[in-house]
This record gives sequence, C-alpha cells and structure tokens, in this order.
Amino acid sequence: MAHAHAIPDGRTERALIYGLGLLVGLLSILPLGRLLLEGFAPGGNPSLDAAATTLSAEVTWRATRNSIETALGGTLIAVLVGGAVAITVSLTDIRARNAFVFLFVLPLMIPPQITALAWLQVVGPASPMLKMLGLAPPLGTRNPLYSREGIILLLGIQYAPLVFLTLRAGLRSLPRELIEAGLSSGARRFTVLRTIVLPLMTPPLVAGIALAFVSCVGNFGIPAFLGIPGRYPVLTTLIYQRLSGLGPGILGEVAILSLLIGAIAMSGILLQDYMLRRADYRITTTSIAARPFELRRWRLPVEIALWSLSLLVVVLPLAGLIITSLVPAYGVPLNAKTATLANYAYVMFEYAAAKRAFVNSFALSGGAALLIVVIAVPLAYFLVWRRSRLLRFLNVAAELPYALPGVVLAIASILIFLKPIPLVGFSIYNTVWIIFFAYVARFLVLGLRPVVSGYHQLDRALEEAAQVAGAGLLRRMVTIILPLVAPAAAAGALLIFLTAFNELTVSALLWSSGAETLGVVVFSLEQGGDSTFASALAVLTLLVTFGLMLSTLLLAKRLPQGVLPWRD
Amino acid sequence: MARLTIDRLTKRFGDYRALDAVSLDVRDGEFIAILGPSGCGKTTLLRLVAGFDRAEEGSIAIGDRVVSSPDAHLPPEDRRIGIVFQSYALWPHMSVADNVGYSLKVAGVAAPERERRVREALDLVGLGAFAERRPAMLSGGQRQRVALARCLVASPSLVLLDEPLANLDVHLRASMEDEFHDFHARTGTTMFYITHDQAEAMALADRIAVMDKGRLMQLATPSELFREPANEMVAGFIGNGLIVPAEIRDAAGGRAVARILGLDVAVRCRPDQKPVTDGKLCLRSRDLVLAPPGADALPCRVRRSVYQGGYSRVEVVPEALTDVTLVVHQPEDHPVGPGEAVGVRIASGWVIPETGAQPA
Repeated sequence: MAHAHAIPDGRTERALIYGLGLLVGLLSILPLGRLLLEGFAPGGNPSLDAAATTLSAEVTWRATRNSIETALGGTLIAVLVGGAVAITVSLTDIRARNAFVFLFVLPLMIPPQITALAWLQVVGPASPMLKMLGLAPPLGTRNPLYSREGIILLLGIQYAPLVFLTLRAGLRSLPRELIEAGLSSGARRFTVLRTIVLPLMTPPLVAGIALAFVSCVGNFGIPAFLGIPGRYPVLTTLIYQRLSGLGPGILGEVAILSLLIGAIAMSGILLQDYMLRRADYRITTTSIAARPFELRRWRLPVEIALWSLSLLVVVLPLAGLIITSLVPAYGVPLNAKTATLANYAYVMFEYAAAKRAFVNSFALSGGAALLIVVIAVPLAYFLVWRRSRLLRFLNVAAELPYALPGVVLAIASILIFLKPIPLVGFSIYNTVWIIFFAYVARFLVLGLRPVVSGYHQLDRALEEAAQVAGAGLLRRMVTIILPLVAPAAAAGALLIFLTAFNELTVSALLWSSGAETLGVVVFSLEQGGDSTFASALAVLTLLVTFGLMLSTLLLAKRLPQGVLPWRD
Repeated sequence: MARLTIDRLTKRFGDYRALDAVSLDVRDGEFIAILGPSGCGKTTLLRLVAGFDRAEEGSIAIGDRVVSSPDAHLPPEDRRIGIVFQSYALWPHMSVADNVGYSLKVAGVAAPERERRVREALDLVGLGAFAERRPAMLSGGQRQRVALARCLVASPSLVLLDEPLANLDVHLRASMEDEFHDFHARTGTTMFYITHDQAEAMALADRIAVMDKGRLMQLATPSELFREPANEMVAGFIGNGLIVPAEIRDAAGGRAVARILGLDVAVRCRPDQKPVTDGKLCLRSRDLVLAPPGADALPCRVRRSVYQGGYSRVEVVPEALTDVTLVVHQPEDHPVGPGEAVGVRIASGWVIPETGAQPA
C-alpha cells in the first residue's frame, strides 16, 4: 500500500518539477537567449553587422559613458546616505525607529518617474511651490535638474533605501558579543565601528553597492524625465528614443544596446561576486542583536538630522507634487483662489487614456501577482526542500529578468512576440498580454524570495507528518503548505502589485494604444507639457501605493521578518 | 587592586527581578564561580559587572572605584576587564594575532612591544604557531584559547568568563578546566566565572556563589557548600542532597540530635542552631547505609535499583513517609531488588539552618 502510494507521488513530483522548470525557462532563459540570438545571429545567420554599426556609432559610446557616470555618481550618493543612516539607525538608541524606517524607505516604493516628476515641481522657474513661496527663479532659467548632476542626485535619493536595507539586515545579524568584545578591550565606540563593525559589514555593503549600481544603470524613469529634455542620453533612454522614433525596424540595433546595458549590469554583479569570494567574513557566532550605543546628549541632534533628511528627501518633493496637482495651470502660484481639483477630475473622469490605464495597471499587476504566487509556492517548495542541480539552476534563472535592467527584458519580449506565436497562430504584440508576460517574467523573483524565506522558517516535520498520515504531494501542498506560507506569499504578491502598479521601464517600450499603463500615461502627460495632469495622476497612484503599504502594517505580525522592506 | 565589590545590586526587566539585591565580595586574585540553574540571573550579573547594562539599584566597585551605581556608569571600554564569551566572539575578519593584539592596538601600544606581548600570550595558551590563521580555521578548543589569550594580553584587573566551556565536548572540557586552573595559578588574576555546571565550579573555584531566581543563595568554598548548605535550594542543587523533615533537639557546639520518623540520629549543625520541631535535614547518599530492618534503622521498601558500575544506586521509600525517596549506594556484592523490605541506617546529616522563608 505504502509502496503503491509512493509511485504516483514521485511521478507527480517529477511532473511538477519539470513543468516548473519549463515555465521558468520560458520566462527567463528564452527572452535572454532570443536577445543574444538577435544580437549576434539575426534571422539565424551569424552576423556581427548590427553589432558593428551600433558599436561604432558615436552616440552609443556617449550614452554608455553617461550611463556609467550617472550610475557611479548615484551609487556613491546612495551608499553615503543609505550607509550612514543604516549605521545610525541600527547601532544607536534613537527613538521612533519604526516610523523613521517607514518614512526613509518610502522612496523605494515611489516609482522613479514620479520621483523625477515630483522633484521637477520643487525646483525650476515655473515651480508652483517656489512661486507660492516667492522663491522662483526668473522665467527662462533652465531647470537645474535637467542635467547630469540632477540625474545623479535623484538616482542617489531613489536608491539610498536599497543600500540602507541591505546594510541594516547585515547589522541586525551581527552578534553583539563581537561589539562587546571590542568594548571590553578598551576600544571607543568609533574605534569599534571602524575596526570591527565596518569590516564585518563588507559583504552586505558590497551587495548594496552592486544592487544600487545595477538599479542606476537600468533606471529609465529618472533619465527619461530629466535627461531627455536635458539632451543627456543614457543607454535606457537611447533605446526608448530609437524604438519609439523608428519602430521595430531598428530592433537589431536596440538589441545590441540592451545587450550592452545588460553586460554593464552583469559586470557589476560579477564584481560583487568576486569581491565577496575574496573576503570571507563568515560570522561564526550567533546571538541576539547588538545593544544600541547610547547617544546621550547627541541623541536629539541626531534625531533632528535624520528626520530633516527624510523630510527633505521624501516630504518636500511630495509636497511639490501635490501643490502642482492643485493649480489650474503650470506656473500659477497656489493660493485659496487658484486651488482646484479640476486636474483630478480630468484624469479620473475625462481623460480616456488615464481611465484605461487605471484598469490596465490594476489588472496587470493584480494578475501578475496572483500568477506568480501560484508559480512561486510549489517552486519554492522544491527549491528549499529538494535540492538538485536543475533546481539550483532554476533559482539563478528566475533571478535574471529582475537582476538585469528592465529594458533588456522589454526588448527581448518584443523580439519573441513580434511575430505570431508558433502553433497557436495569433500575436500578442501590441496587446496588454505582452506587458503581462514581461511583468510575470520580471517580478517572479519578487514573489519567490518571500515565499522561500517563509519555507525556511517552517518546520519540515509539519509536512512530513501529513505525509505519514497518507496525504499525497498535491494534497499536502494545498492543505498544509499553502496555509503555512500564505502570509509570506501574500507579502510577495503585494510587493509585486506595488512594484508593477507604477512601473514604467517595461511598459514604456511595450505599450500600445488601448494598452497604456499608469506609468506610461504620467510619462506622456509630462512629455506633452501637462505637468498639472501628470502630477494629479501621480498623486492618485501614490495614494493607492501608500494605502496598501499602510494596510500591511496591520497584519505585520503574521509575516516573516524582512519580507516587506518598509517594515522594520 | 582588583577586588570586586557588589552591593545590593538589583536589575528588573519589567516586573521581573532578574537580580534581587545581590551582594558579593570577591577578593583580589580570587577565582570565584557564579553557579546556578538557567534563568537564575548569573548572566545578568556578568553583563552588569562588564558594564553592558546599567545598575538600577545598588552598586559595583572594581578595586576602590565605583563603576556602576544608579547615578554613575563607567562604560565597558574604561573598566579594564577581560571577557571570555560563551561564543568566544572572535572577530572573523582578523587573524588570530590581530584578535589578540586588538586591545593593545587600541591602547596605542607600539608595534614591537605589541608583537612581543601577543606572542607571549599566544605561547602561554600554546597557540604560538597559529598567529596568522583566521578564527574560522581553528577548532573549538583553539578558539577558546585564542579568546583567553585575547582577554589576558592587556593584563586586565578582572577577567569575566561566561560559561566558557559550554560549547566544548567532554574531553576538551576537562583539559580546558586544567588550563584555566593553571592559568589562574600563574597570573593571579581575579576571575569571575559563570557556569551552570557544578562539577566545573567545584573543580576550579576558590569560592562558589550559588544563585537562584535572581538572589544569592550562598557564597562559600566548594566543600562548605557541600557539607553545610545554607538552605534547601543549595542542599538540593549541590550534590543532589536529600531533604527530610526532622525535629532538632539538644543542639550545642555544632552537634545535635535529629528525630526522623521516630528514629534518633546524631547530626551536624551550625554552632548557633536552635532546637526546632519542624526542622529540615540534608542527607547525602554517603550518610546512608542499608541494614537489616531493626530498631536502629528506618523501615523502607526498595523501589528501584540501578547498577552504576561497582555499586548500585538504590532508591528506597520510607514506610512512614512515602513521598520521600532516599538514595543509597549499595556495594555490588549485596544486591537488593525492587519491593524488598530493607532498613536504612543514617550515619550523619546536616541541619539546614535557613528554612521556611528564603534568605534576604
């Protein structure tokens, strides 16, 4: 009986593993392979013509240099700000830590194009905020953010929370004895920080730097809003401009460009790998987190500095955005007479593209979140509890579409779906479905990671008890596993929803009339000079985002730690 | 210079008193063990002495200097103490030599002098050849020695050891015990050793402070703890003493007569022991002998007999007091079986001086 049972179970399991393998392959290996094929063997014939033309163009190298310059600059700011804040928050006794962390990591959940739009409302000659305060520079002055420095600054602000989060996780797992041993050796706090804490934090710091660099290189929203008007091309905006200006005929060339950007991002990841392998600082002890250093009379000044920084980086641009959304026309100062909700009414009820975009973005991000959870729960089950070479490979493969810049995946998706799908015979190019495919591929790992960490916190015996009781794999999965990992899966789904809901990078290249997303509509409104409408729409999308983030705090206790970035 | 004086130290976590008015006087150069079951407050005590936590009531003085009191707190880096952590807490990014030399570097000791002292400290623990290794490449015992060398290199006035042997296997434990002992003999440093293992404490310490539920139960030499426990907790905790009710009379000059279940027995007691009707007697297995049932023996029934190699550990229950179990060590040439009626002769015992209410 037991033997008879074992065979179908093993068969189900194998079928499930291969099915999942096929799916992950479809979502991650296929796009990358298709892109490589297009780059070096268009139409199946090995040829380096497209590569040669693209790589010999002067603008390619200018954009590449600009991409690297802004990415390095943005990373530097992100590391300085995020690192300093992580150390202060984790090692000292500041008050209201949770509230501060929530506020500080907020920019991570604000899409880059809205960050850029909001900052544009704060500076520049027509800024309603500056007009209101009487501080606006004379008309005709160039907005200082339309520059390399502007892009670097905003990239730094955007990704400082990323560095903060990786470093904070590392600091949390630092055993307190290592710090206490330093203190009892007679070392002052700053000496302990310099000689013990910081060296031990090399791995998370390097990881944070790599993450910030790759994110900066792949960022589209900020250079699109600042660099396109400022005539400062980077690779992502160059690809966008080429494709939207010249159409699919240019695909060979943009394939090379996206491979180039992929290579830059990859070199960042590989460098990180190399550095971490050289410095093996495995911590051999475990214990509760270190006790905070008392700041005493410095506590209040430090707290004031931290909160001012957060207000400057988060609240100021949002205020600028809200003010612009309330004025009748760009450049009009806000006061009791001019304030109006007409912009909101327009984007909610009149502007058809915006209305469609709400529906599309809700459906796309909700659908992607749901499908990814359905894939992630069984996939993580095998990743955590069965180990094989195939599964390890799948784990890496699932990371690829998210680790590489979004434009890489977008261009690959176009290449795959430009022609009708073989066997089925219909085309999803120019429909929402191509965006859906790209979302599922790109955000799979966002759903997978929380579920994996959920499995790690589960006692395997819970499943084994069900197995002994005679439950087959699928039954165990539905009745035992799913309820237990449900909180983690929900957190993953939410993270996907929030990220996809305001996404621009992928949809900017894949959208078509009728298949607009919110990111695309905000972008085209701003490009058309309708900053007030763009701001109103951006404020609405942020309200949805923040509302969902806050609601998660209510069920925070049931989630594994470290799953939601904004929850400390 | 390195006396440690702890005076009515109290620490609360919420409503819970982790330390309750603990007073302790450690002499210069003394090896003192803090012994108690887990949760008794010994680690809290160590963290307060080290300065990682603040004192809310009471005070701690190292030498003549008050280092902790409700209104003064000397930070750990200024206390000139050494600590060996249970987890060793070796810094994984530094070599063995860098770990050991850290406090000297912090103190600004010049390189040649520093290297010499690091070498001496490592030679002292027998790890001279391992100076350039990373801690991750050492065995548990070697890490332990590095931790010891690290804490001693700066000649601290006081060394705190937090269950340093808990993570080692049994064989290593015995040899490290010897090393600690030799080490203390050679350096004469005051040592404050936290442990839950009484064999360890007995083997190493000059005096042992037994703690329970945040309070100091008794501070005495190992043999005094064993022979003359101050209260029931100590009597039961140290050497698994058996406690039986007894009426104490004719107490004088450290001797008394105890009446246990109708049997008169000559026992030991404190010189100031008063006669009491509801006294408690601490009996050790070595005080008990199996004898044929008779007038001078307690009628009992054997419940269980477990062979222990050379003797049997026999559990017997007095007929007149069935909720007490006495343990007798019986030579293997006179085996007894469960259910057998036997007599137990009590050769001696100790009158527990503090009964009823726990000591303040």
